[in-house]
Amino acid sequence: MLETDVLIIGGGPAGMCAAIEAAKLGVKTTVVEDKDRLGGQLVKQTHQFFGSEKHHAGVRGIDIGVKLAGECSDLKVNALTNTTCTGIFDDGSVGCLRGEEFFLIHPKRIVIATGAYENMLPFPDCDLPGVYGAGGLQTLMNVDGVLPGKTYLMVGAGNIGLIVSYQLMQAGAEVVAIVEALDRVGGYEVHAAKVKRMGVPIFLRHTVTHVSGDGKVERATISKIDGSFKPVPGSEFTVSVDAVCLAVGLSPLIELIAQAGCETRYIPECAGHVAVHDSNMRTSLEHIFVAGDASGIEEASAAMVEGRIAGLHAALDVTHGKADSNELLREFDSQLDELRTGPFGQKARQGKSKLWGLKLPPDEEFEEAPPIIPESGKKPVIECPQNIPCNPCAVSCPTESITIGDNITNFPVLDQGTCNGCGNCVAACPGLAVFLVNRDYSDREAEITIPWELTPPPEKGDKGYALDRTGVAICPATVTKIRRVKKIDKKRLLVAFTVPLDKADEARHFVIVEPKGAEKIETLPPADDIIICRCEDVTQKEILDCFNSGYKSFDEIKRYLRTGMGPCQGKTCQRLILGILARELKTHVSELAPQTVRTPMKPTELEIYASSKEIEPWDFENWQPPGGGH
Amino acid sequence: MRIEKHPILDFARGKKVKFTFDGREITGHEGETITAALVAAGVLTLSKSIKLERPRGFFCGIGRCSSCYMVVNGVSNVRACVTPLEKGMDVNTQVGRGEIASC
Amino acid sequence: MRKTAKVVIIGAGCTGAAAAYQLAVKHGEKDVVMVEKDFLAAGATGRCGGGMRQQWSTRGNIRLAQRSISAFKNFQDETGQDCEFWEGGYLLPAWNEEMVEHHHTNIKLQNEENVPSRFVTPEEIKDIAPILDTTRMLGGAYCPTDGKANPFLVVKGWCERAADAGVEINVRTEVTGFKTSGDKVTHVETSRGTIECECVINAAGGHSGVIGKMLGLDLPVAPERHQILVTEPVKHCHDPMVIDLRHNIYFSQANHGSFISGHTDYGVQSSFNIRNNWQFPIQLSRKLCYLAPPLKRLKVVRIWAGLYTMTPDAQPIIGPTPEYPNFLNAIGFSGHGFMLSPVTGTILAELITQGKVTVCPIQEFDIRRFKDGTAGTREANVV
Ligand SMILES: Cc1cc2nc3c(=O)[nH]c(=O)nc-3n(C[C@H](O)[C@H](O)[C@H](O)COP(=O)(O)OP(=O)(O)OC[C@H]3O[C@@H](n4cnc5c(N)ncnc54)[C@H](O)[C@@H]3O)c2cc1C
Ligand SMILES: Cc1cc2nc3c(=O)[nH]c(=O)nc-3n(C[C@H](O)[C@H](O)[C@H](O)COP(=O)(O)OP(=O)(O)OC[C@H]3O[C@@H](n4cnc5c(N)ncnc54)[C@H](O)[C@@H]3O)c2cc1C
Ligand code: SF4
Ligand code: SF4
Ligand code: FES
Repeated sequence: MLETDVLIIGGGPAGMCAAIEAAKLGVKTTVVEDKDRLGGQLVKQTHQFFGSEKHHAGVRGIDIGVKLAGECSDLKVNALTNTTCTGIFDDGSVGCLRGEEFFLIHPKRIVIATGAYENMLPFPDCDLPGVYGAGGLQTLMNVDGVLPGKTYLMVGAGNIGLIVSYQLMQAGAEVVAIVEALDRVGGYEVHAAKVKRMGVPIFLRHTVTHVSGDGKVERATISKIDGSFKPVPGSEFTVSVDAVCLAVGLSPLIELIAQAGCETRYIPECAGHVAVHDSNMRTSLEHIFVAGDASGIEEASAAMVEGRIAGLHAALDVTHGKADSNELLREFDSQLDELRTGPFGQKARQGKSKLWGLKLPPDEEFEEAPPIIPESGKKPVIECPQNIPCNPCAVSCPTESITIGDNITNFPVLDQGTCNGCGNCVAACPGLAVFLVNRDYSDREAEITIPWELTPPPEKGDKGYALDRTGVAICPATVTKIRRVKKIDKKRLLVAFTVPLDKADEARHFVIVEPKGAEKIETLPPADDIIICRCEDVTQKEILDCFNSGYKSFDEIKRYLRTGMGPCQGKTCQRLILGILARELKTHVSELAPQTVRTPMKPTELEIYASSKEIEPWDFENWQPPGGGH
Repeated sequence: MRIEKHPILDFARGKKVKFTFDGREITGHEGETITAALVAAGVLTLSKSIKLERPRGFFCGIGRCSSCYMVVNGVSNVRACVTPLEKGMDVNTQVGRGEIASC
Repeated sequence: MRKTAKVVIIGAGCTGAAAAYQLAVKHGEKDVVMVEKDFLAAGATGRCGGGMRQQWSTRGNIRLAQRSISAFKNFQDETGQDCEFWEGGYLLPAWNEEMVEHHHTNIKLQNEENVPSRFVTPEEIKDIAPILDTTRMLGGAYCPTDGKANPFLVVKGWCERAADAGVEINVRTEVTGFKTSGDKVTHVETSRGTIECECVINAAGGHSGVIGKMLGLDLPVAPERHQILVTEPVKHCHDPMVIDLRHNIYFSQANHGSFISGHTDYGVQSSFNIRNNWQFPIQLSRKLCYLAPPLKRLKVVRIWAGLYTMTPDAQPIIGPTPEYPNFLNAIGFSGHGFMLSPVTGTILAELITQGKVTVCPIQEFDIRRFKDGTAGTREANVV
């Protein structure tokens, strides 16, 4: 058994920041993390993050993770990696599984920062090898350096779908298309722009209807959908792909929160059931706090601040408030307010307001900024049209020519007069949204400098084509210069190429070989049923039959069909089944009871429990019933 | 398929080791997950599902589902996605339910 | 929901479901309404091990169990529902001379009642259950015709046939109180309205005491948490339900392949708490690994708990209450209400439709036994 003051469950950005703030107050702090290293989602994020310097903007996710882990170790945080928390018990102890050992931690306060899990999309043959969640695929690709195929269909044009599409291409794969059920791109326009200009079409109001193949995905059928998300007959077409990647949203991972007995509530803006918590991140159980995606899906930047607030309050409980942290807390609160402004922060603001019983802030209308296009000289073109929380362009500029102001969701403003054309902003922008355009390059040519993060990079003198913002080759182009701005980013290249002067406002990407779009192939009929519960092989038909014979709640269906009884304990199927039930009952998921969560969170070998040192070894030879018998 | 060149990442891979998959010899890197080694070798089906024996590949990738249950060195229900590869491992596709070691 | 009914059954566990089926399908009493606060089998029934055996230490229990087992055996023929009945036998190992003696005594009694139980040697046990480590066993009691069934499917089968016959089943309907007149319960009040009735069956399991309180009755029942765990499934490799009285544990392999195992908590206090503690999986796993070492590497996927409803003599209370003769209890089944449910249902139906019980003697279930001191000996073969 291990005693600690503050225990943090989950070592992602939220957990690490909670640990840092707690440890700074001098209390004994322990982090348990399921994976072999701290970092959470950050360990696979190869792209630069948004936000401001306080949230490590412009730094790649992986590097932020390493930095925070370093701070934890400097502050003597006890970080137990490869350790999974499998249950929180009523006597205050926390059960943990580490390798072959089951042991208990006795904390005074707990911060649950377990992050999120990926949503699944049900369609015929969705269980075939070759249908992957974006997160799982990202781990394989960016941590293991392995790809399960060459060509991909991405489902979902939120930030994750857009970022992972780009990362797939960075890894050398081909993204045939991105389909999105809504009528707009959900992610940042800058992320969409960078895949579009590489020729990846984004089909809005489209979805994948089914996949097929011999033992693995070989083809995916895409269809237009109507206002009620039903496929439009006759609109379907099929592409040949090795894999379909699902980026259809995350749900807060609240299994421990629910198992511990914290009150939970369904808040659509938080993307699912979350722990009811106050603005100090305290749940309905006094000794348990939450932070990060587990308390509502947001961004790493918000997760870090929430972690700091939770960690600080947990530590203050332990020191009985013996530390003046008011100023710090005010600072954290204002950071969160800042992050939750703008069109993308709005949702989180609404969700948290609901939880805290505040009056709902009105939905603001946001207008898009026109691109900043200088007329002459060698100047940056900034194509950053939305109020996103981000400012590295301004921070990186040595002449302070770009300004954003105090509110980091403001648009960048360029002062052309003071700009010296150094290109730091091109190297710094995490959205790859800044380009240098030199209209004075020659009489007939302009030089375009673009940020480059692909393999293989072109070489000086290479001749190829310039692509426009939609990935269409518009003119020949020649590479004039390749460089790096090492002090800003060690990896990113700045590639300059020339185009005819009249193409200066269109050319945004360079390729050597002209791209050709995906070919449409014959559509095969879909399988006639859909696997909903993968662990127990339960289909949609079986669930509907069960529903129609009168079993109308998740717990009932579970008892009759074993859905959610398998090793994943319903992580994949619960959301889908609640969705089916809500549809059939013509109600909303928020009205339906989720399943009861029970320990262990991770299947645990009998032998591991048996050999736990938390109970003195037993002598079976001279058997005495433990604890005085029954 | 292994990613050999990446614009941002350098992959630190363990030393090359041989192991068997359904009797066939495959080379992987020590310490990477069994899943990674198999996918790199083009193997996508890791198990056949419990009732319908449908082919299943890796899915959650974090040891929380049952898609990658394999029989490793005679032990059933081993999660390939979180089990590090060791030299000489005997890895087999699990078909349906596993078996207890000695029955 | 109906406003009147001859019989109102409170609780849709195996007891309530058996009563509904027996009344409507077997005894022609179709004017029955069932009210259940959650859903079918939401209580102990849906949480139980599903085991049934004839290896008891009292003649009364042996007879009840025999009748019940034959009912489960014929379940599919009678109801059309497969209840996954499986005759895998029950094995009760003996670890010392005292236990050998105990088993021999019981086997003698059981054989007199035509139960084919027998004493088996450690070698025979190895054949019956190869996964058991028999090195320290002196033998065991074994009955091949004991077995198990799936409680959900049992409740489903009974309720569906009862509904076909006219019983109204109301789920998500909670009983909140009663109206009485003299010594008669006249109305049952629920969260969805009041039902006027001639007769009430209290089959509310762990909460039956709460129902009693609504009538001012102090029923001698106490809910007790009972924890149980299940492993991931493996191919079939084990037939019998093993009950180890010495180490306080039972386990079996379910139809689906999972091993299911539970024990009685050490030092458990009566309460409605069905949350789990960390001690349980450690304690239980130690015993399982000791008894059946090949299971060691199996993973526990879920732990849960249900309520045993205990009475002072570990025997159920079935029949009318002296204070309100039209209020019938079928409560206090401790760890064996599932296997008794077919008979329980029959007793209740006979009491209501015929005013007397022919299926078996029922004095030992009479609630008055605790007041007048006629309560019998405590059943010894329980975990
Ligand atoms: C593709 C992608 C791109 C993104 N890009 C950006 C971006 O550009 N900018 C940005 O700000 N955000 C971005 N995000 C979002 C950001 O990664 C998350 O919001 C952030 O990681 C949430 O942090 P967290 O600490 O709450 O959870 P996580 O990072 O998910 O960490 C949770 C940790 O808890 C561990 N854990 C879970 N359960 C247990 C348990 N029972 N026992 C022990 N450990 C457990 C997990 O292993 C995990 O390491 C992106 C996310 C994705 C998927
Ligand atoms: C872990 C465990 C293992 C067991 N193993 C076995 C075994 O192997 N073999 C065996 O024979 N027995 C076993 N038992 C015992 C057996 O499960 C019970 O004795 C039996 O299920 C009792 O059935 P019941 O219908 O009387 O009660 P329950 O199944 O508890 O049903 C009572 C119902 O009443 C409902 N209810 C309660 N209050 C109200 C109200 N106010 N209004 C409306 N409805 C209400 C409840 O929701 C519930 O559905 C086990 C029990 C447990 C807990
Ligand atoms: S090019 Fe250089 S000087 Fe001009 S805005 Fe960008 S960073 Fe500032
Ligand atoms: S232009 Fe500036 S504000 Fe816009 S994404 Fe790039 S760095 Fe961020
Ligand atoms: S892929 Fe889900 S457990 Fe391995």
